[in-house]
Amino acid sequence: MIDLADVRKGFRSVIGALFAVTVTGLALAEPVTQKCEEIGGLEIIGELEYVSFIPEDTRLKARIDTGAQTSSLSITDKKLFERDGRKWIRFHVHDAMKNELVEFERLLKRSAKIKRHEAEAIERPVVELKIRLGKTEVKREFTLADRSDFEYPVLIGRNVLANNFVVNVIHKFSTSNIEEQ
Amino acid sequence: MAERRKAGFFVSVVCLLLLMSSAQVAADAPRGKRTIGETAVIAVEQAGMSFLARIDTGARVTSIHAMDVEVKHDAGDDKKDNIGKEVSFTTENERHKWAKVTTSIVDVAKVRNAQGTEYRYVVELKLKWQGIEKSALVNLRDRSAMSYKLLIGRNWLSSDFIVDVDRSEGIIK
Repeated sequence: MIDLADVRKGFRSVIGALFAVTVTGLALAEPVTQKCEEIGGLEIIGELEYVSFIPEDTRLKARIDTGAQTSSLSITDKKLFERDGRKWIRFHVHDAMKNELVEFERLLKRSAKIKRHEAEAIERPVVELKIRLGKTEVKREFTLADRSDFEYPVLIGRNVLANNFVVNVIHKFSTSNIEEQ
Repeated sequence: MAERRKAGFFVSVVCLLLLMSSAQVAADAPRGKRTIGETAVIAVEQAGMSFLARIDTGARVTSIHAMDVEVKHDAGDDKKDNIGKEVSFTTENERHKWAKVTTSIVDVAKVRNAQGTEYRYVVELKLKWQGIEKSALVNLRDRSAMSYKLLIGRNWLSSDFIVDVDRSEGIIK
């Protein structure tokens, strides 16, 4: 009753079907593990992400910190200067991936008093920086922290997260392509 | 022919099941997670009261305000020698409500901050938010100088919660 050719054909169709299912499954599952997922229009990001600074196009690792009000950037060699009668600041950012110092110049917005527990308050310059995080570009205030012993050079606080992102701490570098990491 | 039809039926059932399960995965994660705000009212079972907590993805470990920390049969110098022992401490929430908590020390955490390195006892506490109860390791720390007496770190959020800072259950000035 059972023809060998039939069995072979049946076997082939099973393999074919399994292949089709796997491909469909992967295609369906991909948005979950892959980049740029959204919830209610807000992009989902992880506890660590890459942030690009515009227009310098410097890409740095950032800790996503819902406990911080204002975002901050680790810098060195800050120098205040005057341009068109206004206060500007020039500073260096260490691009770890290219291993080079990148010079930034920005209008000084203000100085922020940073309260520290059981330690003296310190003043830090504040500038506006345009960044790209995932698919989103925003211009927000950053305090400039003149120290290089930060765990990560960028801290993304609530002033960037609000209205733009939600944080899922099981992800890391979820908005970048795997080959870029 | 009957075998062929049977095989075909079997394959389509398998296909359907696999399709359903992959679609399920796509639909569940991460929408099955609950979204929590930048602050949340969280009940600490062992303290019998709630705290307005700061939800902090920048902190690895959760920490709670603890004063008068007393270890039963304290070994003295090295805090690590007290792991496994009974500990009691007084905690206070943002509304100045007090509670005494007695539990056991599960670990000692080395914490580095602006003031240097310090060692803190770690205990396990049951933290409940909107019907979801989840145990987590919690650092004991004197948080008198801080607005939020309970700080929720990534160890409690991980795999269950998504943080949306546009939401809040209150702000302490």
